[in-house]
Amino acid sequence: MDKISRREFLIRGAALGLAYGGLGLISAPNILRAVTEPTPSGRLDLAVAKGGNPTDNTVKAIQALGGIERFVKKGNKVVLKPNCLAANPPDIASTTNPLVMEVVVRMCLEAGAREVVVASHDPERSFQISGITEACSGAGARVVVANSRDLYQSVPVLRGRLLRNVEIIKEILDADVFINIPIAKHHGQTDVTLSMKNLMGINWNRAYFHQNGLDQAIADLNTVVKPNLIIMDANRILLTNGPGGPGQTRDEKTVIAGTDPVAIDAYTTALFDRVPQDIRHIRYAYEFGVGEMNLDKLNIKEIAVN
Amino acid sequence: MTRDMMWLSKGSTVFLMLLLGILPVRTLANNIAVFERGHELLKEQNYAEALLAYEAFVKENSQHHLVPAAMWTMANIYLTINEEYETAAGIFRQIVNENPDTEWEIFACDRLGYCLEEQEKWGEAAAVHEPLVRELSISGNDAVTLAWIDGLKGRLLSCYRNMEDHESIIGVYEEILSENPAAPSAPQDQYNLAQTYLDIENSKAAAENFVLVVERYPVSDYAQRVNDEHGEMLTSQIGYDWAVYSTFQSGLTLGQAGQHDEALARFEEVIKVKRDAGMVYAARFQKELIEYRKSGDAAALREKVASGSDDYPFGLGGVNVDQLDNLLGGIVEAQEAIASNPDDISGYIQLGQCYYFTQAYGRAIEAYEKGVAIAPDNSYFHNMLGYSYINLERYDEAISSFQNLIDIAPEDPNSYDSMAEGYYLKGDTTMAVQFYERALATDSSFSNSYYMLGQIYYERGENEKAIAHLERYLEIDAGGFRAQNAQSLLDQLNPPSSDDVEP
Repeated sequence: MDKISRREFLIRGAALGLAYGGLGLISAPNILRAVTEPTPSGRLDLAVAKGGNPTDNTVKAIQALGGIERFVKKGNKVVLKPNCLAANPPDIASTTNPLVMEVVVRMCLEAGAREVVVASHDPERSFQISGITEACSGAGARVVVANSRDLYQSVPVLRGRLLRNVEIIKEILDADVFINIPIAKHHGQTDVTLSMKNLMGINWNRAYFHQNGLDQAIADLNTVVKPNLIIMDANRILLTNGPGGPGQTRDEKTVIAGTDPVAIDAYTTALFDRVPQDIRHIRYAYEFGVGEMNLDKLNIKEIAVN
Repeated sequence: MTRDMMWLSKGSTVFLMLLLGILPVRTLANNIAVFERGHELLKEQNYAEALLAYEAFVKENSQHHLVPAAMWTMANIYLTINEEYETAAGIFRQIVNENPDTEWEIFACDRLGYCLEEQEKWGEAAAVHEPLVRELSISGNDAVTLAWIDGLKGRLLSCYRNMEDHESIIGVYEEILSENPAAPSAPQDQYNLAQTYLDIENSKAAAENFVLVVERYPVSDYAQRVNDEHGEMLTSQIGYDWAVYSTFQSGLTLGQAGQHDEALARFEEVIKVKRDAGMVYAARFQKELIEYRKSGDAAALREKVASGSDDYPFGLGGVNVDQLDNLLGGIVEAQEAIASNPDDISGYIQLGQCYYFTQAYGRAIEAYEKGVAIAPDNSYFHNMLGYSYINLERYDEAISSFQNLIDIAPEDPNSYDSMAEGYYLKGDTTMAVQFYERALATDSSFSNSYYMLGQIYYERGENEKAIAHLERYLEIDAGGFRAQNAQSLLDQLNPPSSDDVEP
């Protein structure tokens, strides 16, 4: 196979520049401005609240990150993405705990959100039986069961290895703030389903993912959509027979919050006695720069909740 | 200048400035923020500046683990957004070379192939696909990898076709067929192999391979195509005897019409005459299928299909294994649902549907009759009961079911259309016309009735009426599944005059 050297490559790029516009005077592009901004230092990567009930754990984890106001501003449209894959009640631990959903809806509205939408590509029955519809509607959110293709918009996947386009729920693309609220579960194909896998439910064509390489497709999808905040419900986790359950469960009484999907998933793998490197979609996402999977490089704060 | 080109101009100029050392790249780019800024620019669809960001990151961080990701994204921008395939190919090639034995190498190889195909560099693309197919064949045999390999082989064949490299095409088909002659695509591949030999005028090899299509996959459409298109050639050139194929086809027809014992006798005859040829395996499977239609035991047939590579070395003779497995699985699932809730209407719908599509019409009738007992006003059950009877050529019972359908749903044009079809297939076109007219009286845009009336009038030689109805059908449903047939009938009724023929 021919190989072009980096020098040849750079020269080709330069030639391209000449071909398209010469050397006219221009203003400094955004990229140069961006790198002169200071990198935030000392900021917490993950907040882990343990020991309390689902509501308290959620509140404490978000507070430790700087409070919901760090993410939600007055007048924002906020979209929340739960996991409501299976038509099971919350104690089966196959769906995001409705108490977690409810308190996040309330916090967003209290922070001044114009609208809170709860959206996912899951069966309506699952929304109902999981208690998510009742909890979220009762707290003031609008629930969108995204089961119609006209609710989706195609987006190019320029950083993906497998996907070239993906159809995403429009509400999410239109939102000011997107909060991913998965539950930590076992998964028969990907070993675990955490925050990155939960984004499967914002895309239309799940069958393509399954047929063409699920792990890579998950990583690719996460290069397109990065939530502003991730709240991992690990109050009770499903250890076997996932993702639908019922299976063996364990009460972890934990909520993990952060902004880096790779970091949050890497941390959560330990609850399943796994290491991040062994979960392919986590490794692929790390390779793409979606986030950090080396826990020793993360600033993690654990909070005991009584 | 378009907006995109303006960005490109701006970005490229800055890139030159970076290259020439006018801007202090070193102090700016040695930072992961540049990489992340690239992502932000992608979101803003500011592709030219995103390219610049990734280029700067790669230049200053050559050992960073995110270099392949940055280069990959650059290449994708050139491929997808800018459609600069040569530049994209150059970057993908570099990723391949710099990341041996990683997923990057494999995925970049795949995309490099796309870039070369877009440039119609068929030889170079083939040279990329060939080693990739070999590498993937060694590295994995899971369903995803196998599907990927299949896709790549299709692309490889396309390259060879564009190069008119028949020898390589033959090589690929022979390899595919030797690896898995039971694959769902095998009948088509076998047919294409024969056709390729025909294209290079190797009629002996063509004939041998056309015979294999018929012998190994007699249920497939490709066997019928060989019979239609090359039947005489095979008889004259190699003395192929079509009598056994005819017996096999007769068995299929009898089996579908529910004449199980007669069908079994035909397949026994095929097995006796052919002894160990490919058609024997297909005949043995057809016997199993008929036993299933008699017993309704989907689980038993499913087990045989799943475990039968030795019993069925050429698949199921052209029956689509995946579809059959889905339908049989659907029966098992529906039976379980009904067992836990005997009044489960959707269970009976699924059960009847899966039996219907596996041509177990007798079993479908049982399921639909149970559905009627639970939900006598459900029009679906009556309609499907009628069609199940039609397939067994029990037209009076079909007409009776359709009458029930009309009683329940008199406002639905489909009720009359179904009844009309029952009469039409019974041979009573007078009644058929009456009911098609009633369908149209209920809904003047019900396109199927126009088509069928057009066909009946055509058969009767009432050409003006036929033309009017077929034209109306095409007005309403130009893209419909009968549109091609309608146009074909119209062409026969209205042959173009010499004035219409362009010089």
